[in-house]
Amino acid sequence: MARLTSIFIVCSPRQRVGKTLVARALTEFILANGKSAVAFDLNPNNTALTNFLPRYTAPADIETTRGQMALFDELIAPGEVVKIIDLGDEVFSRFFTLIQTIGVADEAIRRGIDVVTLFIGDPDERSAQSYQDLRGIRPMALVPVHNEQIANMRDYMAAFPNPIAGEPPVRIPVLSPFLKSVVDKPGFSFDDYLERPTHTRTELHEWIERVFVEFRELELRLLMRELKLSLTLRQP
Amino acid sequence: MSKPTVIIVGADKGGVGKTTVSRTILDYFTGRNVQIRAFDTESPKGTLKRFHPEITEVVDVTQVPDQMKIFDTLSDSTVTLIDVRAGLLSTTLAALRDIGFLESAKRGQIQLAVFHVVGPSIASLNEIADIAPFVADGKYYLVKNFINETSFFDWDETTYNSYFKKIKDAVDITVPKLNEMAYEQVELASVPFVTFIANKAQNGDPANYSFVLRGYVRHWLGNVWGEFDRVKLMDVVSSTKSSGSGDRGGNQRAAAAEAEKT
Repeated sequence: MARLTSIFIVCSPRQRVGKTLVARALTEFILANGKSAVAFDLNPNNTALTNFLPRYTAPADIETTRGQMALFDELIAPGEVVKIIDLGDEVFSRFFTLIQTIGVADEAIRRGIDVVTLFIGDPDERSAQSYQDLRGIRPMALVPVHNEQIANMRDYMAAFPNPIAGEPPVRIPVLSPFLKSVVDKPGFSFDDYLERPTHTRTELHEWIERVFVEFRELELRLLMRELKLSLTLRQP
Repeated sequence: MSKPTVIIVGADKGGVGKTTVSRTILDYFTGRNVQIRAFDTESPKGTLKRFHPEITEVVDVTQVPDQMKIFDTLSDSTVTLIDVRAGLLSTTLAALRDIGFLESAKRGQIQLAVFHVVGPSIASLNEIADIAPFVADGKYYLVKNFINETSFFDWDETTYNSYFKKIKDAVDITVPKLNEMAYEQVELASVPFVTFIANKAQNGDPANYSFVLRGYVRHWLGNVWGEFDRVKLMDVVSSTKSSGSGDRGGNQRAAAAEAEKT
């Protein structure tokens, strides 16, 4: 069965690894492809995502049962809207415990919705441990994200192997400090920047396009998985 | 010779979630294709009957006609559950002794199991002492019910053990906490837990319960059933059937057919 839509969970148990940046870029990528998207801001202590994408961001909380109902009932609601969750590090473990308790991923799959967790790797050991723990949660697809901004270290991403052997992590290239300050300006939109008529191509054009290509490839890989799975199932 | 199974669920005081425990047992056996019927002693208006109207009858267990209704109709193929009103557990057991029921259990003609639901206070353990003499020959389950509790039981191990050891082969079962809103929603819906999980109304029509709350109930019920599996609750029933093998197959087919109908 072809998947109707997807839920993307952008996460890390650590602060300042670029979760909101990735969630913003992914949301804009999906919108730029003409699909509907809603981003859920699960950062109890800041509203960065909401500030960047006010029209596409829904505030969310999982502290109260009502908040959980509002979020999870919406996530698995029928329709073709792609959902992106910017998961704050403060609620990382609580969120995944709830997902398993309530059985969100199972129900989503039953309803034809893919659940994809984008995990941003970093050199901290606790992150590697959390990543290992998440590998046990089925039937979620787990995809490592290599944010090259994080650390200029030896290959720490080895601790975040892609569960599908041979598939690379999603790469987010380095942004120079100047460009970082540009994209962090309130109201900055990646897609608007690409679409703006200009004679000069900047480094930022390059960066946004590379990120979008990464997302495009991720989309294709997920589609391939789905295809392979359906072919395997059809075999007698 | 096969023998009927009688499960008594009781507590010496109200508000410890006795009926909730009965409901999980009814769901447990129904889900395993074991026929079960229930008697609710909260006359005139039983809570258990509200959730399981089709298999529940409201009775007054101290009255002879109602005793006949329960005990003269015991059968090998059906488990009988009696939800004993708060404060009536010792009285009920005394009545059972008087009609010779406990004697039958002792002689092995009836399989008796007692679920004693205790509240969070240590005082309620005193009840165990009163009940102990009656259940020496049955299965005794001490149910610690956390369903509505936010705080943990404050057990004093020494006190606890001194009471607990009075009953031979006593086994304890823990019912974990269930999310308050989920609990309330099931109360409002007045349906068995499994029906709530399946998103159905009392009459079988599709309902519109929150997915999150259903998830909480599914997870919680799974844990409760896990406890029942751990204490091998099914053995209480199957031991009664192990002798008549031909009979057993018939029963299971009937049960499976029954389950398919619903």
